[in-house]
Amino acid sequence: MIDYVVQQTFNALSFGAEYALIALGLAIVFSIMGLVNFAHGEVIAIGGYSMMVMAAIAFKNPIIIIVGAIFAAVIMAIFLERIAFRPVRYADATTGLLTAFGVSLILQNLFLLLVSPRPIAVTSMYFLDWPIKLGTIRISSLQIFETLATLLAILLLVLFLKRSFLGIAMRAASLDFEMVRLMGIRANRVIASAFAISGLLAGIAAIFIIARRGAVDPTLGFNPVLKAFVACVVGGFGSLPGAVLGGFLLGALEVGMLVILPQSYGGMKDAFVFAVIAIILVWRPEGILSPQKEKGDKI
Amino acid sequence: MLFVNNLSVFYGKIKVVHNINFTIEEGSCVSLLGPNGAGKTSTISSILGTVNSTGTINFCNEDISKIQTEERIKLGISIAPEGRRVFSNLSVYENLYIGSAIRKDREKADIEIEEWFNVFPILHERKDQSAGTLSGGEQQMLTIARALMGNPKILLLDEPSLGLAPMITKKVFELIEKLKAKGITILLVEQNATEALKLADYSYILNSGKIIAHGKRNEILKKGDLMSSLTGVEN
Repeated sequence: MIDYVVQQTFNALSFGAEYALIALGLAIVFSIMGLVNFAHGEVIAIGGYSMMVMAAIAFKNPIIIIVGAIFAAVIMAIFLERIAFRPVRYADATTGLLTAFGVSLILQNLFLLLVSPRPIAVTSMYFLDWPIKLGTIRISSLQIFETLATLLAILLLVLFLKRSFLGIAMRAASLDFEMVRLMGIRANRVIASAFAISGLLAGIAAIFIIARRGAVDPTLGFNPVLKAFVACVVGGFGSLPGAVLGGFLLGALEVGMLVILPQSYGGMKDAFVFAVIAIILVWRPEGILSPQKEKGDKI
Repeated sequence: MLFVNNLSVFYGKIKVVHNINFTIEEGSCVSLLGPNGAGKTSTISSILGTVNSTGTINFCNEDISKIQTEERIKLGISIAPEGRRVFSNLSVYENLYIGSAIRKDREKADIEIEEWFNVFPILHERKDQSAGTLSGGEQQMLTIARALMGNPKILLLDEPSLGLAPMITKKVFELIEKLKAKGITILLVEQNATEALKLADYSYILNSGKIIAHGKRNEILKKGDLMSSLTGVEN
């Protein structure tokens, strides 16, 4: 019984870590420019496709492939900010949202047309996955790597945001963007940095998604980003700790439902997960870590 | 130092400031007074480049009316805005550190932050505390110190006494007086005309987006009833 609980805990942690990584990428951009970047999934896909390309042109060294995938995702995120999101930066929030969906669809279709509509095998990351036996407990090394990499990424991000000038400026920008400009800090620099960090997190996520799936397809990142969006909403949109909490909570809920639900209800896992999320949102409509608003004296 | 010529400010098609002119000499303290909605903050915003405006703004022999806000700040314009606008979730220390953004010698920021802590011991006591938890008066001190962290050539103070208790207001004006004595060029926007007139070397009275009077304190006070109704200053 304890073995089963430990195994499922590792499952929950690794799922949660993946959602938390992607949710952080969404949250860091949202906190600064109020944009829900649904094209984040395609940045993840670019990470996946870059691994495919590097493997095809005979890069056998996994370190090169990992660094290359992260680099490609960072460049893609900065590029999207420059050509798609900067022109609509001061437009209505809806315009930003529609732009993000538009960019996402265009990129997915480009992958369809220029690469392939079918999944393409990318086996370079399989080396991350081997079974580990701890007594009677069997877990996958990938789960440990994914959890540790996420925790390390969060730790480094916290250090960056707390210790570096640019990090402090980014936190300030998430509170009062115009005031940061009035301190003489370039808006472009702060926003491009936020996109670069989101790209970095997307690149790391891409490595683990590819390591688990072993293949890349045009919608590689789209579904994880939808889940990460839910994690952000549950945690409190724009809150970075909220994104992490939401990610791990969603992972725990998904695995928890698989464990609790009878097999015949297995297909309805998501319905049960979202029912729990709905209850959480009734309790905290702004998300768990979002500050509660004053209700005024009428209620 | 700062020459504003034929300045008009627009919000969409609505003109809120109408062709005003004023000058601030280096080392002087100039006040911009007037009732609510007179266009004082809009004028400050146009100097900072955060609103649409026409006319020319010449700062240190450079026309800044077409350049980006960040570039204007880098030239040496600093703002302590209306409503204080401290970064509420950042600590007092981080707020001050952010103020050093345009300095090339940012590694020396810590020394200057310590100097400000000597001026305001209460900020030192609360240096690791979130700025949002400070009282209104403490936040105002922090805002002014933050604005001065960048070693500006001119300090724009927008309603520094707004919403503060009389005792705290007195302290804020004492601080502005000290800054003036140090030779810092100041543009003071205020509704508290009594105190502002005492401090300023020269004042402009705005009403409905137009400068309706300007001069030194005695000249302004001579205008009698009009001044009394606009600024609350008894003749």
